[in-house]
Amino acid sequence: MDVRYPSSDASISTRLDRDKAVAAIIELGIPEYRTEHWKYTNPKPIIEALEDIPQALPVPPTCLEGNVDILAFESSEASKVIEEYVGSIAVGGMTSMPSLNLLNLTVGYVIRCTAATDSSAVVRIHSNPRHCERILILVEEGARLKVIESSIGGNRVFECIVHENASLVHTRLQETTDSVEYGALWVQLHSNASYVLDQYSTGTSLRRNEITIDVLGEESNVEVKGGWNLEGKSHLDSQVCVNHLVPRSRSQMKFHGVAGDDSRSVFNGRIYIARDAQHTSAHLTNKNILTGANAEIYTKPELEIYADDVVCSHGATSGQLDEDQVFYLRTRGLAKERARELLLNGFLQEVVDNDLGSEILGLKPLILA
Amino acid sequence: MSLLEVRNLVVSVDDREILKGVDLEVDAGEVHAIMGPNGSGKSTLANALAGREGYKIESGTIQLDSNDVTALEPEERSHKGLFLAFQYPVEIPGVTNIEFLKTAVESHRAAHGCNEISAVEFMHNLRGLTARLELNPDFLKRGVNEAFSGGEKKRNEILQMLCLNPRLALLDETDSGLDIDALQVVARGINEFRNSANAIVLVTHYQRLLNHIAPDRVHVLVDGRVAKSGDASLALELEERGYSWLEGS
Repeated sequence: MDVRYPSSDASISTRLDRDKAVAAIIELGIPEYRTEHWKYTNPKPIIEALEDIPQALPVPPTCLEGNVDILAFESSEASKVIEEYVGSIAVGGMTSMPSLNLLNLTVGYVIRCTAATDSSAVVRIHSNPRHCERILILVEEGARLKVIESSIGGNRVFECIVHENASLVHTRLQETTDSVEYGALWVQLHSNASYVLDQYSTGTSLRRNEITIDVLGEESNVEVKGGWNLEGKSHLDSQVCVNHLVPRSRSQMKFHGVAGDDSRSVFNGRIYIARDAQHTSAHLTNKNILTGANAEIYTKPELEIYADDVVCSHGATSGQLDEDQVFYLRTRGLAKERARELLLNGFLQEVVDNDLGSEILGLKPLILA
Repeated sequence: MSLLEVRNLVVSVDDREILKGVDLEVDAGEVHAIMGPNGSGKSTLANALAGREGYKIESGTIQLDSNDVTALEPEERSHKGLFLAFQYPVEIPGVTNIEFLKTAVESHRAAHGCNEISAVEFMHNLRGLTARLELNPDFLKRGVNEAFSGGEKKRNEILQMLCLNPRLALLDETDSGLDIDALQVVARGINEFRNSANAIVLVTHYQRLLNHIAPDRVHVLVDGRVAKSGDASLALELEERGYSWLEGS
C-alpha cells in the first residue's frame, strides 16, 4: 500500500511515532464507502478534507478553572507524554481514520490535570476548522477535569486516559457548519474512574463521530448521552463502542436523535463484554424520530458478551411522532405545530441536562417550579 | 340555547359507523352521565366531540355556546371551552407537567387575546390546585403522566381541567383505575369545578362515580344511539337491571 507522509508541521511530526499509524493503515486499509464501518457514510470527503489548508491559526485550549497543564505538541515539556501515549491509544479499532489524522497532523495539545482536588478543573477546547488536530488528555490519579469542547468542522482525535479514582466530564458541542467534520474519541478508563460524555450535534454536510471507550479498571463508570437535531441535507454518523475488559464496571449510554427534511442519521452502538468482565452492568439505547419526508435513519445496537454473569440491555427505535400524544396536546389548546415542537423538545430534553446542550439543539428552556 | 347541543350525530371510524344519530342537549350548570355497555359508542362520542382525527363525522352538528364546532380543529374546540379528560391519559416523557400546563394555559390566553400570565401568578394558582387534589408538588416536575399511577394520571386530568377552566368538561371513564380514596379526591375536584356557568358530561360504566357526583340527567347509549334518558334514578335502575333490557329498544 502506498502511504505517503504529508507535509504536516515538522516540529510536531518528528515527535510522533508514525510507524504505528502506518502499520494500522496497512492493516485496516484506507476507509472505503460501503464497507462494514462506512456502510452509510462516504469517507472520501473526510479523507479529501485532510488536504485542507487551515485559514486561521489554531486556538489552543484555555483553562477556565483550576490548575491544568496545557502544552502544545511542539513544546519540549510535552515530548515525554507524546512519546508515551500519542498514537498508542487511538490505533486499530474500527477504521484507520485516526491513523490518517496522525499522519496529517497540523496541531496537537496535551491537557494534563494532576491535582487531586475536590472541585473539578475546567478547560475549554475551541473549534479549529480545517485543522487536523490531536488532543491528549491525561487525568491523573484522583484528579477531576471537565472539558467543554466546540467543533465546527475539521479533523480531531482525542486520546484520553483517566487514571485511578479520577474523573473526566466531557461536553461536546457540535455546531452547524458547511464543512466536513471528523471526530474520534478514545478513552481508557482505570480503576474506580469515571467518564461522562454529553454530546450534542446539529447538522453539517457530513459529520462522523467515532467513540471508543476501553474500560480497563474495576468499579469504573461510563455515562454517555447524545442528542442530535438534523435539518436540511445534513448527515451525522455516530459509531460508539464500549469495551468492558475487566469485572465490575458500569456503562450507560442513551442517544436521542431527530432527523428532519432530507437529513440522514446513522448510529451504530456496541457493547463488548470480555470473558473476564463478570458483574458488568451495561445499557445502551438509541431512539429516533423521523420528521422529514425524505429523511433517513439507520440504527444498529449491538451486544457482544462473553461473560455469563452480567446485566445488559440494548435497544433502538425509529418512528414518527406519536399521533396520540399530538392529539392529547391539541385537546389542551396547543396548535398542531406547537404540539409537535413541544414533543420534539421533550424527546431531546431527555438526553440534555445543561444549557449549552439546549442552546446547540435549539431547545426551549424548561420552566422550573 | 343549551351550552352543548348535539344533533343527529353520525360518526364512523375506519369506515365503520359507530354513532348512528346521537342527540344530546346539556345546559349550563348541569351534569349529564353517558352510560352504556361496552362497544356502545361512549368513547367514540367523547372523541368525536373533541375532534380526534379518524373519527369522521358523516352528518349532524355539534354546537357549543351556539357556535358550530363540528368542523373545528381539536385546539379550536379547546379554546372555545371544550375539555376532554382521557380514559387513558398519554405519557409524554421529557415534557414536564409544569411546562405542559403553562404551555396549555398560554395557548388559551393567546387564543383569547390575553397577555402572558406571570410565572409567579401561574405557580401560585397551580400550587393551590395541586394541594386541593392532594398531589405532591414534585409531581409538577415529572414528565407528563410518565410512570404515574392510574390514580395520579386521573388526578392530573382533573388538574388540567381546573387550570383551563372549560365551559364543558367531557370526562371519559375518569373513574376507571381509581381506588376508593382516589375516587373521592377526583370527585371532590369535579364537584368544586361544577358551577352554574359550566357543564359536565361524565362517560362511565358504573354507578359508583355517580354516588359522589349527582347527575341531572342520565343517558344510555346502546348501539350508537341514545336508547333512554332519565334522571339520576335511571343509573340506579341500570345498576340493578343491567343494559340488556334496553338493547333493541
